[in-house]
Amino acid sequence: MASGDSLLTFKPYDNEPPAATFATLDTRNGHPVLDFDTTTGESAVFSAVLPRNYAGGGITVYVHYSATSAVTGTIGWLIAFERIGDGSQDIDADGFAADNTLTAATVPATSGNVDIINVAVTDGANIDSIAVGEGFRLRVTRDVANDTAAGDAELIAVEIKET
Amino acid sequence: MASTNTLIIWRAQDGRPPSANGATFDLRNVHPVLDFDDATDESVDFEGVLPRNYAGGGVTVYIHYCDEAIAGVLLWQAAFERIGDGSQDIDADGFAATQSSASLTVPATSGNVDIASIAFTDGAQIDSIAVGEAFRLRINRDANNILDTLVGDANLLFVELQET
Repeated sequence: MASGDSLLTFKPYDNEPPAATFATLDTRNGHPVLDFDTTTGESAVFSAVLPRNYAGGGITVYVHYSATSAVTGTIGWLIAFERIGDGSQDIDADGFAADNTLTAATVPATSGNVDIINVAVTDGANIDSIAVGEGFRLRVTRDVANDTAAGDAELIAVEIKET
Repeated sequence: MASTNTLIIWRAQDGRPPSANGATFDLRNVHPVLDFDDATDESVDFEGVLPRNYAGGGVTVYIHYCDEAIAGVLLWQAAFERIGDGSQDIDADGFAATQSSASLTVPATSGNVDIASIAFTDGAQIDSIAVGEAFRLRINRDANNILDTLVGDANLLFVELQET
């Protein structure tokens, strides 16, 4: 039983940027970060194999981020899974399931402090029905339509945990 | 007990080509892949430290790949090299005997991913790697085998190491 277990952690250097509208690799005091614009919904993509200790439940995605300069306002995120699987996705095309929303949260009052917000995603269609041992991708997009913080959002890490 | 647990996952960008006949890093619809030639055997090495949740059993190597053709048969090979604690002079290679996959009929859609597996018994087949020791895993396309009939490159996406 893997409920509560961390399944995977992604860092900025793990990003496989999409062909367009991608978050930009940067550093902040030596910390690798991915910069997400405040007006255009930029994305980062992470790939992995779903580990064998996944027991088939829902998945919670945690996004660790800071704001480049903002000390007021909110930042939100969208995440979507794409099952690559065993013969289930032609990788010459994209097949991400619907976005799941990490509701925009008030940014820390100190711009370099890291906030962690999450969304619990149910098993099944919302995770594109990825099964244990299958390859998949996770796309992370800044939800610029629903957040208010000025300046870039900086992604520090993404954790996937079995709920 | 770690049987059936995932031990390590490698992506294409984690691979390190050997000094000759290395697989080539490429992108396919922005997916990082490693290209393996259809005429010459090409290889890539993945490095790791055997995790502490390994319980001493056999291991299975899963190779996630797709191809540039829609027909043909492909063979993969894999071999372990224990670096260990004073057991391997890294100025030379010391891979154990190569193990081979079954003959794999590739997916009918060239971008679809197939998952091949190669099972290794504990002991000599995994070069007797112990928990906490560093090692390398070499993946090779057996392109010069008469049974490998796939035309065009094979594209490797992921390798998973699982305790069997």
